[in-house]
Amino acid sequence: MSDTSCDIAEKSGRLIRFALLPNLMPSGDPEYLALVREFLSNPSFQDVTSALARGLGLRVLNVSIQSGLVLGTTTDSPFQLHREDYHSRMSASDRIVQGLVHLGIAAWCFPRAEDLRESDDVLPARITVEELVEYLHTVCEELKAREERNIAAPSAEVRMALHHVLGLGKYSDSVDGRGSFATLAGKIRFALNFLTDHGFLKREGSDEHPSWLARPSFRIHVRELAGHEAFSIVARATQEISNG
Amino acid sequence: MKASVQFETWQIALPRRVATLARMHPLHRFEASKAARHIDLGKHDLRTLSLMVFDAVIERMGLAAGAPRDEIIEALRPIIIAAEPNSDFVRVAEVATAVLDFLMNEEERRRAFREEMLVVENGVQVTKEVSFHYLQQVLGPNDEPLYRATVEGINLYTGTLGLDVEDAHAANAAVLKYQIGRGRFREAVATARQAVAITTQYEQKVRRALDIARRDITAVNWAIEVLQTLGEARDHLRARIDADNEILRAVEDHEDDANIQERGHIAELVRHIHECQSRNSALHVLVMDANESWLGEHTRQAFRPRALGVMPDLEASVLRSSLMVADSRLDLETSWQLTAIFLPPSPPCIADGRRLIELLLAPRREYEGANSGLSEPEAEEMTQSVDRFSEQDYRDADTLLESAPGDGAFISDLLLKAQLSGLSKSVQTLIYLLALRAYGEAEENPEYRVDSADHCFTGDPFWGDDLVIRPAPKLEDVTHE
Repeated sequence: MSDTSCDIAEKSGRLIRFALLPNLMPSGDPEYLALVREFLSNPSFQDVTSALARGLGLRVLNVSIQSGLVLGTTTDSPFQLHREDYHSRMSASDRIVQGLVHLGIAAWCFPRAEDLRESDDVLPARITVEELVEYLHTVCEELKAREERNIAAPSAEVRMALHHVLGLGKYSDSVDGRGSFATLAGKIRFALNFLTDHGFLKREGSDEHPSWLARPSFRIHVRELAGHEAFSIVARATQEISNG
Repeated sequence: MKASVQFETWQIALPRRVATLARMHPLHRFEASKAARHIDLGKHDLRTLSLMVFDAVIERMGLAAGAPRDEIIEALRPIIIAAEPNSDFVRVAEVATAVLDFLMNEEERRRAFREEMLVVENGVQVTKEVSFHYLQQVLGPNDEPLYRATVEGINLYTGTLGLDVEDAHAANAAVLKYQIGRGRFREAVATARQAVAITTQYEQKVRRALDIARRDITAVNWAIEVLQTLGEARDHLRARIDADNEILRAVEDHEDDANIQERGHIAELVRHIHECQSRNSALHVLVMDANESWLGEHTRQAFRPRALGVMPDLEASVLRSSLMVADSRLDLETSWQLTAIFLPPSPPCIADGRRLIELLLAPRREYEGANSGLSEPEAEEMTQSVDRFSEQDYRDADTLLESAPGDGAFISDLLLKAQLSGLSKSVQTLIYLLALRAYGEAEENPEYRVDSADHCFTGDPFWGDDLVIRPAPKLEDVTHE
């Protein structure tokens, strides 16, 4: 490998390192900004970075001066978060609800395909725990009512995912204001805080009434990767049902 | 894009003009429905306040990415105070927030306003929909949310709805030259401010077209549509740069004859024209480089993963379907995958204190020898793994932890108490691990709460940051219906 190739490889590594630091934007680090600019103007740098990312089980989703290098993971990537690192004590029902909560956050921000196609820097609707609780609960209630109308005698054996959401208390505030993971609000708050800590959301407002804004990287991640993947997962699960 | 020169028949002109009117409907509805709002807005003309928001935002878009909320509220203050002289800061912010929320369409989660209109196509009446935003929010260079006017918003403000922005630009320049030629500098300042807004609008239009190409090269026909747009933009910007120079020369010609009051207007006029010039020049550079940028983008997007097919509606197609899936289909792996796909990459955890605590509290593993993988499993001979701690250990530890008074006890004191009570090292270890596990956890129905004590302790064999253990407050379930 020539000196130039080594130099590019090292810079690609550094660029990926910056991209893996949550909440760091190119505007916050001159070196990161310089690397993004070089990436945008140097095809060799793009090729090496892409290859390096692929080797690590990462996908280059987007690169821009504003959001920097936005990466996604492949299914077998060591960079994909482990269940235990997300929350160490989740029951089977908790796991189902957490998936639905994350899907709910994305659907709240980008309900229709055209919302995802907006410019990357446009911020979608502000999120609050209360609004998301009502949103998810209302959708579940609607679907449940529709299902009950359509089926004369609902089968007690078929428990749908929505029942896990409806089975939870909406809110449960302890005396000192600490939320409980056992409620829907607690699970939503946990997911929002997790996405904030990992750079997808920006938290605003007071501790008593926090709200969240989705950063451009979240839009890119959902548009380029998660939206399609979620659709495939749900389609597979639905397909299996219709196939018996 | 401008169509080739042709006579505009009513079949072409009418739908365009109806769409122009439709873009004002939300604003009129906002004013008409103010009595139904949850706050009293009766004394305010909400259209005036809305246009004042555009004024504040567009002015700041000239210098930065947009306007922060506080500055918009400040710009609205005189108008709100004029209608309600006794308004304090809270009331001003409340009214301003109502206007901002409307312009952002917060009620519909910031989605585009949609207006339906009935038009005639080939002799048949058809329903068409126009969708548009007035205002959007972006993150500024210091990570602060800023408001930005859209092309439609600027159009509404400048009163150029229905005109192509290029035509509006040319018309504005003609008016400006006329006003300067007749020494009407005060009016010319207002026209020049409008020129800045139209320049900003044009910039948004070109940037939006380039942005779509940048995000997805497959979404645009570069060779035909975009190259034509760029060609027109280059011509338009050259004409604008020439026109700005001409206007500046006209101002200079009249400057010597101006009186003191007029000189103030002239200075402001020159400032606005310079701003237009600088924005047009910057945009010209962007347009000149656009083709090369696109070629780079083409190369870059070649390696980007792109799922086949169109993007699904997340709410209608994915969320709703997922809620109807039987939970028997959502096994451990599938349900985790649904969470994991929405999470960003995360460097693998090498050392994790919390997992270490869980490991130390878990039952002991049998030693796995080199040949253990080859032995035949015999279910009847398997015995349950032995816990590290006995049931009596847990009972003793719980008794001690529960003995913490309401205002809390230090873990160092509890460990000392355990030693003095003659409890074994095993129980002391369990007490320490249970306290560590409960530290900072918002667990369901916790038995005790553990917080940092902000000092250290040294004991045998335990040492480190001291912790305060207190009984957990009782949970009160409040279900909001």
